Amino acid sequence: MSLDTLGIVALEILNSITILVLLALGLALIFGMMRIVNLAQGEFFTAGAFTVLTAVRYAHLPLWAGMLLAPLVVGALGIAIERLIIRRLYGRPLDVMLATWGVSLLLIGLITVIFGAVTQGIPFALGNFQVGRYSYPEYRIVMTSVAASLMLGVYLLFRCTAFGRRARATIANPQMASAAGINTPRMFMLTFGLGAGLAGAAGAIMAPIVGVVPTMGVLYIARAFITVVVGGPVVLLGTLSSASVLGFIEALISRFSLFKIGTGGHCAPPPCEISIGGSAFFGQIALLIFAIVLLRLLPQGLSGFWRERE
Amino acid sequence: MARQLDRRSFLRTAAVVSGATMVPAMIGLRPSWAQGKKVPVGSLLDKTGGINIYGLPAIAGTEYAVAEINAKGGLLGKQLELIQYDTQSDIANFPKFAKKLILEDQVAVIHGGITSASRESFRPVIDEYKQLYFYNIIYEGGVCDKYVFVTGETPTQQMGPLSKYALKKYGTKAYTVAADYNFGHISWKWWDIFWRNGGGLEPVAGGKKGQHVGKVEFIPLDVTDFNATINRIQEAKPDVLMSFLVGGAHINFYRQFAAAGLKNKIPIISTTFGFGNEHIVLDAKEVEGLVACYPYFDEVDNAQNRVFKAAMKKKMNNPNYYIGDAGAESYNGWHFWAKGVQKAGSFEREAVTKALESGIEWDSPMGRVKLDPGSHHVVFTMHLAAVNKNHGWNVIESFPNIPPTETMQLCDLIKNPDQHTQYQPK
Repeated sequence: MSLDTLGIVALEILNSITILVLLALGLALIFGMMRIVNLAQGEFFTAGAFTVLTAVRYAHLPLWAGMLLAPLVVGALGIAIERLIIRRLYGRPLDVMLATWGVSLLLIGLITVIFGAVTQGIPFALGNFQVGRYSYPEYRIVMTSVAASLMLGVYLLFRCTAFGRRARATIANPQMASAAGINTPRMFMLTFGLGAGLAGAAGAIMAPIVGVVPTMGVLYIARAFITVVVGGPVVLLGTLSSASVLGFIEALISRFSLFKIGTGGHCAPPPCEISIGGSAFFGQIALLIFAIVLLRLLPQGLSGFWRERE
Repeated sequence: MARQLDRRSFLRTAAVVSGATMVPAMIGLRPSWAQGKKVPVGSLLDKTGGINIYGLPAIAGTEYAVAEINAKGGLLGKQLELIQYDTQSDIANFPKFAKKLILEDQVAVIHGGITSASRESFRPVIDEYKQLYFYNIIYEGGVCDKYVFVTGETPTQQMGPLSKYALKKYGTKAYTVAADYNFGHISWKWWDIFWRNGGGLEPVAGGKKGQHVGKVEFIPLDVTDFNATINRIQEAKPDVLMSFLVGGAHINFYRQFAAAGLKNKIPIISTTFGFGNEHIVLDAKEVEGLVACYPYFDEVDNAQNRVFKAAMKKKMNNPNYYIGDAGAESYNGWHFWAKGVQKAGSFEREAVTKALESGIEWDSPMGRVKLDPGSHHVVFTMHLAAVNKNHGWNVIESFPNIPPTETMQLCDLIKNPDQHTQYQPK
């Protein structure tokens, strides 16, 4: 394999990991920390993309301003939903699931009513750079930097601030935290809002490369859940490691053919064969199979496995 | 006298009742549309979901066609009652709603179906109930069914002009990306024949012949990230890229292709780009110059189209509304049917089929269109056009009277009426 191909494959892997991190980060807080199966997470992502669309298309703001606005708008939406609905259902996991599913349908419906069920796009201006024979969009690198900054930001927030300490205490033991004087309902609300805001940021960042349509969240929600579940109980490091492993597998199988199966009949160009691997379809399948096998062997996810060994 | 309802008499009654309700369906007794004031007609299109980029324009064309027919006094003195179900881009909805239209609503005709997967999912229902059905959209060709009329274009009509143009203008090496379902797979088989023959079903004498570089890539409809595909295309260094991509998610391909800086390096031709109005969603700097071939573009100028465009803009309350191929074909499909009904003087399937098979020809917004009796397909004037700077198309060249040859060669429903199949290259 030539050097430039190696470079481009490395970029493809980095891109797969980036997308999984972006999708999973918000959910890791809500599902990983708060144990809330939030089926509306995909719609928070959609809401982020539509915030950018509205800002750029209708308010004529620059793209970056729309992208900064998105996590704030979606975070506020998350807080409102937590106040109105989720708050009443803590400790009732199945009811929360049903309620957030309802919220998801409601949001899809609302967005459809406002914007119509049409696919819209946000064009972007950044250029591309050359990797040997390949040219590669700069925006993908921007996405990776944003994902890395978000990850670092969340880490610092929970590690080094008073809010982070209180939030972690609340999640570890609500009664004790409450007894120590922490306003636990407020902590739950803010953590949920933060998770929603991160999903909004992901939607905003990805809006320029995907079609913006009210049902777009559905395309991503499964991958977000898979990444978080495979990541296991340690929120940030678990998500990062599972996104890395799954993204690596997906990008690699999307690119390289593992083996070929001969077939009969007319085929063009000959020879007649089906290649296993080497397309987006097999990339998706590989990600799912790998996640299933991994969870069979390590039911607590990747980070659960480290914890057990410690 | 009160009678005890015992199990045996209940079963007997139930058998008689259910038998009686099934008899009409079994002996093919159809509702009589001669009696009511209104005639119900059905449409199955995706108003929501990933396929609605085609569904919405097709619905607009459908609603306008039916309203126009009704405004001119309806058909045979009766108003049409349009019954539409949103099939939600979900294949399972098509057979379900087709049955509902046939059994409950008792429609005179069904129009619709968008993806070939959706059409093949309910064509068995159409055949089972001997229902008159119109499929009004570009597809991979070969449907040969006595009960079905196809008013969309087929491989010969698109790939013939496209391959000749690309061979002359761009070069002989092509890379192909296709949607991963029956449409993409069958289109690829025809495309291979046309491309390697230099633009015909048989080798074209004299001209250049195409060849493939890299392997054809089939992409599932929900894939939104095309990073690896785009890099593989760069590796293969084709002279031209053929796209059979379909649906809302695949629009991202063109955007990501342009973002990688390839728009001016590798030209794209397509049989699907544009009929879902992708050129409206995408920016000119992303897709300007992409070449497609359809019987209808809004830019095609004739008297009928001027009236049609003005009326559609008014209906949609949007002075910039772009109708596109999907909208115009739905409109044409309904008018083909209406002309068949008028000629037959009846709404009955057999009479209408016979009238349509007499060879109906009329001046539509696309220009002159003619129904080929044997194959139940349409002969069009095809236009080769490139996306321009203003979310529209510039017509490069027009090809009058192009028949759907690949299907006509295989399918003659007059000589051999008892066919309900789809042909494809072996």
